[in-house]
Amino acid sequence: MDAKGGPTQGPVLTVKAGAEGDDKAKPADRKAKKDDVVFVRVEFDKDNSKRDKPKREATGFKEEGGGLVFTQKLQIPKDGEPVEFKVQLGYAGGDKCTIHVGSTDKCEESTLLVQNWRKLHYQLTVPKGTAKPDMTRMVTALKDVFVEYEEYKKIEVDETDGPNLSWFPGEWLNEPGKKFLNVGDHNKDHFHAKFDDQKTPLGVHVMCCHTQFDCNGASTTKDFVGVEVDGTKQTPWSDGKNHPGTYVWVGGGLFPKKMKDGSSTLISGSWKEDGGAGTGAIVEADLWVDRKTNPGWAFMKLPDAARDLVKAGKKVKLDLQIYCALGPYLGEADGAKGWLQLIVVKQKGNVVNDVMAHELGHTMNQVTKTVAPGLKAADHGRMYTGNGHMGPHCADGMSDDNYAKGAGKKGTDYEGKFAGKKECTCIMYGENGEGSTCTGRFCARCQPFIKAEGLDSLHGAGASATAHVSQKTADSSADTRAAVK
Amino acid sequence: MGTPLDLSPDDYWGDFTRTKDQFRSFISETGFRGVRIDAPALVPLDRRDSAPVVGYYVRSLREDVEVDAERQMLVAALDLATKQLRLGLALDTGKTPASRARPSGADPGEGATFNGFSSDLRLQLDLPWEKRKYLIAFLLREHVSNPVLMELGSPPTAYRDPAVEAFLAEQRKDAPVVPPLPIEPLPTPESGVSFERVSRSPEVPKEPGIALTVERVAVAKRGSSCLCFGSFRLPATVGELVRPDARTGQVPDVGDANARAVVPISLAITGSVSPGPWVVELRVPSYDAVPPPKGAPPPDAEAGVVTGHFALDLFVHPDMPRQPMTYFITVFAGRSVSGPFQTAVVTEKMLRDAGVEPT
Repeated sequence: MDAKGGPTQGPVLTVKAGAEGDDKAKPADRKAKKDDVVFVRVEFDKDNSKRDKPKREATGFKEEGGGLVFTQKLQIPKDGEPVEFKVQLGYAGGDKCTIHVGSTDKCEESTLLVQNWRKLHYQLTVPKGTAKPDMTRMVTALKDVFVEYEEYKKIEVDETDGPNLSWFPGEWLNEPGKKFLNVGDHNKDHFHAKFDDQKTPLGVHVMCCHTQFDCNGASTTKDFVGVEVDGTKQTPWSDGKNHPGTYVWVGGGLFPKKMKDGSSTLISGSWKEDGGAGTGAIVEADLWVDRKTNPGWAFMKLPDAARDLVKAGKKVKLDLQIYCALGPYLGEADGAKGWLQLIVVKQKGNVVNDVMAHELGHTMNQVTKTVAPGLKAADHGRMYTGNGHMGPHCADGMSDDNYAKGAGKKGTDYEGKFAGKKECTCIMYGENGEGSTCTGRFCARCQPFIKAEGLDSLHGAGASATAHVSQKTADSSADTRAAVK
Repeated sequence: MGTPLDLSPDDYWGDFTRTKDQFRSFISETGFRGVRIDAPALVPLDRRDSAPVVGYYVRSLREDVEVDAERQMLVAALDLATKQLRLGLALDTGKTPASRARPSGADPGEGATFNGFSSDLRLQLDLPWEKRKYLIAFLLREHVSNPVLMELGSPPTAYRDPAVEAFLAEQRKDAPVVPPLPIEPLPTPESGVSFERVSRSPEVPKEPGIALTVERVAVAKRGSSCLCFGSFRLPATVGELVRPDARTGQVPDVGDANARAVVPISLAITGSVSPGPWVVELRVPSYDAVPPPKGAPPPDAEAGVVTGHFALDLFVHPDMPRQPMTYFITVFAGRSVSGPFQTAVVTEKMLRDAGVEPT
C-alpha cells in the first residue's frame, strides 16, 4: 500500500499491487510486464458493524458471498506499473477487511489485513498550574470503540486571563490563599476563543476549569417577597452569635460576591413594618454567606431600626433580590457545538476522566441521538431520557424488569427515576460523580453505536464531505505487492 | 397587562424581566403562588430560530427548599392540528450536574420566592420547525401554569397568494375523507372503560373544558383500581368527525358505530417525588350530532362543540405509573387545559405501617 502519494485518511483505500520488489526498483529494473494478470480477493469480516452506508465493497469487483467477498482479475497496465484498485472500507470503527493478492485465482501470494480506526484530536486548555487530567481510563474506553484521541496542543490560562472574577478566591471553596477558575455560560466564549482549531472538523476543545457555574440568564436572580421576621426569629452570624433576622435558601451558586463579576450578591433589599409605617433598606453588610458550613443559605441580619421593631413585638417583612449562579456542573458538550467542551477538573478519583469520556460520548451522538444507517436505536435496549437525568443516557446493568422499556418498573423506585442506580456502570449513564460505580468504559450496548458513527465531522452534521477515517493495518509488515509471474 | 407578563414580541428573545417589578407587585397584592408563563403569539419561522416560553415560578420559602425546578418542571405542548401532546423537562440544560448541596432542615418561615426562566421549546421538546399551532402549559408538582398559545408560522407581512389558497381549498373538496383514529382504549369488561354517563361522572362543564374526578387515594396491589371519571365539552375539529366518505358513502369504523366524533384527550401526569413525565392518551367518542361542515374546511377547522363522558381504571392503563407518591394529572384537550387533579398511590406496606392489615 503506497500511502505517500495521497491522503492517508478516509474510508476509501487505494491499493496498488505489482511485482515483488518493484516499488523500490528503478523503472528499467521492474519485473511487472504489461497485461500480466493479478488476482485480487477482498474479504470483509462477517462480524463487522451493521452500518450499511457507504456500502463496503471493492469498486468494480465481482460481488460474492452476500456482500462479504469481492474478486477481480486485473492486468498490469504498463510495464513496471502496479495494478490499482479502490476499497470502500466504510466508516465503522473496528471493521476488518482482508485483501488477498496473487498470480492465480487462489490469491495466495500476499495478504493485507486492514482495520478501521477513527482519529479525533483535541486541544487541552488548563488553568495554569493544573496538571493534565489523567486520561488513562478514557483512552482505554476509546480504544474499545476504535477511536484514537490525540492531543495536538496544550495551553495554560493564568490568573490574569478572563473576564472579571473568572478566577475567584479559594476562600469560597474553603481553600484560602488559592484562586480557582470558574467557566460558565457567561465567560466560556472568552475561553473557547483560545481554541486553535487546526484539526477542523475533527478537533475538540477540552477547556478545563475548577468549577462550572453558569452566570447568565433570568434564573440567576432570585427574588424574595414578604419574608416574615418577628421577635422570635434569629439568624446565625459570622461573629458566632445569633441576631434578630432570618435565613433563606438561595442555592448552590450563592457566593459572597456575584460569581459573574464580583459585584454584590445582594442586588436589592428592603424591609417594611407589617401593618405599620416603618421601612428601610437592607444592604450588603446585612447579608452573610457561609460557604463553609451552610452553603446555599443567605443569612440576613435586621438593620437596627427593624431590629428595634421586632424586639417591640412587631413584625417586619423583607423584600430581597439575591444573585445565585446556576450549577454546579461537572461539564458540558456545548449543545449544537458539541466539540466545545467544559470539563471540571477539581474532582476526586476518576470523575474527571469519566466526565471527559461522557461528554465526548455526547459529542459522538450518544446515546442514540443519531443512529448510523443500518442500525436501529431500539436495538440499544437501555437508552433512556429524563428519569431524573438530563438528556439521553444508558442504563446498561439495569434488569429488563426494572428498565421496563425506559419507563422504570411500575410501582417501584425505578418508575420514572433512574438516578442513583448503582448497577448502571456505563460511561453514558446519567451520573458519574463521586461515589459512582462507573467502570470507565462504554458498555457493550453503546459500543456498536459508537463504532458505527462516521466521526468524519464533529463540527455539526454534514459539516464536511471529507472523510477522515484513518485505517490501521493490523499486519503492516505484510508485503502487499503480489509477485507477478 | 396585554400578555400574561405584559411583554412585547421582542422581549421573549431579549430581556423578558423588563416587567418584573409589575409581576412582583402582582404577587404582593394577590399572594399568587404557582407558575406564570408568557410566549410570543407568533414565532416567524424565517426570522427566529427558537421558540421561547418565559415565566416565573413563585413558591413559598418552604416549598423552595424541597423543589428543584431544573429537574422537576415540565413543559407540555399540544399540537392543535394533530392533538399530539409533547411533554418533557422544561429546563433541561444537557449539562452534567454535580452533586448539589442539600438545604438543611431549617425552616425558613413565611414568605415567597420566585425567579424567572426561559425555555426554548424547539430544543426542549424537539419541536418540528414548521407551521404549527401549540397550546402550552408548564407543570410543576401541584402547579399548572396559565395556558398560552404559540403559532409557528409566517409573519403577517409575508406574501400571500389568494389563488394558491383557493386552489388548495378546491383540492380538498375532492380529497378522500381521512377518518379520525379509532377509540382508545376500547370499552371492554376487562379494561373497566366506559363512555356512558355513570353515577360518578362529573357534570359536563358549561364552558369548553374537562371535568375530572379521580380516586383520591388508591392502593397499588393486585386487583385494586384507581377509577377516573371525566365529562367534557370540547370543540371538535373537522378531522375528528365520524362522517361518511362523500365518494363511497362508507362510514369509517372507529370502534363504536354510534360515535359522531372521536376526541383526543391527553392526561399529562407528574408526581410529588419524581417528575416523570407520564402521558395517558385517550380517544373518546362523543355521540352528539354535529352538522356536516360546509365546503371543504381543513381538518383542523372547528366543526362544532361536542360533549361526552369517559370512565376508566387508570391502573389498567399501561401508561399509568404506580410508584407510591401523589400524582398530579393535567388534562389537555381541544384548546383547554384542566387540572391538576390529584391521586395518590399507597402501598400495602404503607397500610401495614399504619396499622391496617390489607384486605
